[in-house]
Amino acid sequence: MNIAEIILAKGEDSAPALLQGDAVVTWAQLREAVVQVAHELLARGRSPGDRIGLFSENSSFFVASYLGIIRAGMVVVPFPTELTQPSFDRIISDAGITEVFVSRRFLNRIRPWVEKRGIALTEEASSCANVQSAGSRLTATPSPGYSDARGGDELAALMFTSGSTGAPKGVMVSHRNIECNSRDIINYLGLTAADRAMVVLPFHYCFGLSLLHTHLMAGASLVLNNNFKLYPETVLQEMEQRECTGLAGVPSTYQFLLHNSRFRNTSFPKLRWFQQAGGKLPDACIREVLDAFPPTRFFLMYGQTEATARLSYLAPEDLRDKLGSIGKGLPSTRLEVLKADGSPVVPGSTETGEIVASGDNITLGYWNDPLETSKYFRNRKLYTGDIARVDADGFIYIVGRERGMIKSGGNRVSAEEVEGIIAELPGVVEVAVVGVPHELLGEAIKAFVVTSAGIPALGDAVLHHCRQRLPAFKVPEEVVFLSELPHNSSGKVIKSRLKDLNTARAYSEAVTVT
Amino acid sequence: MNYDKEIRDFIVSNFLYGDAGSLHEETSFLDSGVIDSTGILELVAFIEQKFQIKVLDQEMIPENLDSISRLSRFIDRKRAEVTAVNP
Repeated sequence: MNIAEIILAKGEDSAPALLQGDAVVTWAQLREAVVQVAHELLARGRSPGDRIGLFSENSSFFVASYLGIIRAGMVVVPFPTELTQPSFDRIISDAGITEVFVSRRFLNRIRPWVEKRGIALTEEASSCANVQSAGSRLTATPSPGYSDARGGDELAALMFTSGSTGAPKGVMVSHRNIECNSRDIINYLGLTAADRAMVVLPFHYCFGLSLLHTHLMAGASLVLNNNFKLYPETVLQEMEQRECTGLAGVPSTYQFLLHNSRFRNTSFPKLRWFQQAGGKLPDACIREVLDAFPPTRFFLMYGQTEATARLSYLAPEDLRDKLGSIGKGLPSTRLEVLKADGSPVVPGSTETGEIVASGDNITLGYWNDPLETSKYFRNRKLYTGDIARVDADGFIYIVGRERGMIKSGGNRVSAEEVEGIIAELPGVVEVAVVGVPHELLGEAIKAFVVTSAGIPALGDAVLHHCRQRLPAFKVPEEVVFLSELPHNSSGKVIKSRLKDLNTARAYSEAVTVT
Repeated sequence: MNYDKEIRDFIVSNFLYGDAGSLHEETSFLDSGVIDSTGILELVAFIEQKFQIKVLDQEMIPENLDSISRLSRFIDRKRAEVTAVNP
């Protein structure tokens, strides 16, 4: 069955589905808009399987477009909104995208990019996905292709995420993947139509998207707030006014709320649960949240885009005893921790191995990239690249990551990509980029740069160059200039030693620019 | 009174490294990305100190802070409050 139909099946017609600012979109309005978008696409001659881009902040336009594209049997490609033009171009070419839905907010920026590519652009103002006005404008004529829309193992979405080389890779998510993962999440959170989540995470990110999938599938509602980054106060005010039952965040969401807002002194009478994923939230912060909101259940979770969203969770009942663990696999997801020889680690021992996952939420691999797919997807199993141990009770603890990705503020950043950009600067001899522990971001990006003799220091030039060439979340927090980098015998930079430099200043001549 | 210039100068020298190119009076800090989450706190600390006002938690919302002109109007209102209390 088509996943958009499943997601839209439960909500009560007159009940709110989406709330944003003063606007309320009911279930009836949302359903109507989704049907219209699907008919509109088919009537324009788009075919099932076509890839349709979506460039939008969180809004009813995003939700109606996303579900409408899927309902028409096409494959939706949500763009990370901080994309630069070269990455946009690469995704358009790689995915063979023929049309892009663009929200009002991004229209001026994206229109020239789309026109340069010679592909179709559907803008918010004139789209059926413009929910606020769609009800009065039932223009699209029913299309014959509508009744046999795709589902099951066919593609529903391509989720682009940074690969280990820095080039974006499109994770192929099927209808079945979304259904399986969402049902598991709904069950362990106990979501019902009475739930209302505060959404501050972007829908183009798998964790944000899982909120859309799960809450709508449960017939619940979503409050969309895009102001969190600068104005967390608005999130607190809306959680109170809109009587939210849950909040989902990455580590920086909670750290930011704890340290930069009156979060812990606010009471949310209806608040029932917190969800946290997207990296390790320091144990001290988890305790602070638990102490501030004793009756609220805190779900700590672990996942990857390659697994649709979620792989495991730690139940609130186990949180204090098993602090630091990512819990156990979801009901439909089998997690194994395998040593290099393929055998499982012994529970309760100090052995470590790679987390390997199987189940219906494991996606179909990377679009158009059999080589990368074969590295991480083998025998219908996902090799996560995360290294872990297992305790005597079967709880999994992550101890490291294999893929060399930095997880900063919920984003995955490829060290190689940032290194490549810095290396473009004249005078840069060598550069190494690492993730170092950071209170707010989980990991902060730190660059170590060696310049050629005669160029004593590039000063702000490195950061300036990065800001021009990279989206803000990939720009290093700190740049340190060294006279040389530590290397091993095969000439590889020993990044672990650079990470240690963070605490112990081994190089006296280090000059820090922040 | 208009505080645009003081606010603009602070933003340009602290967040834009002298490059004022695309910063207009109505530019949204949120949409344009000129200021990050730490930056907004620095900006608030700056206006509190410079204009002798206290920004309450409840006032940390885009309607008050999210562009040079909004900020300027907000400072104006706050200073009027101060004057009303301590004439």
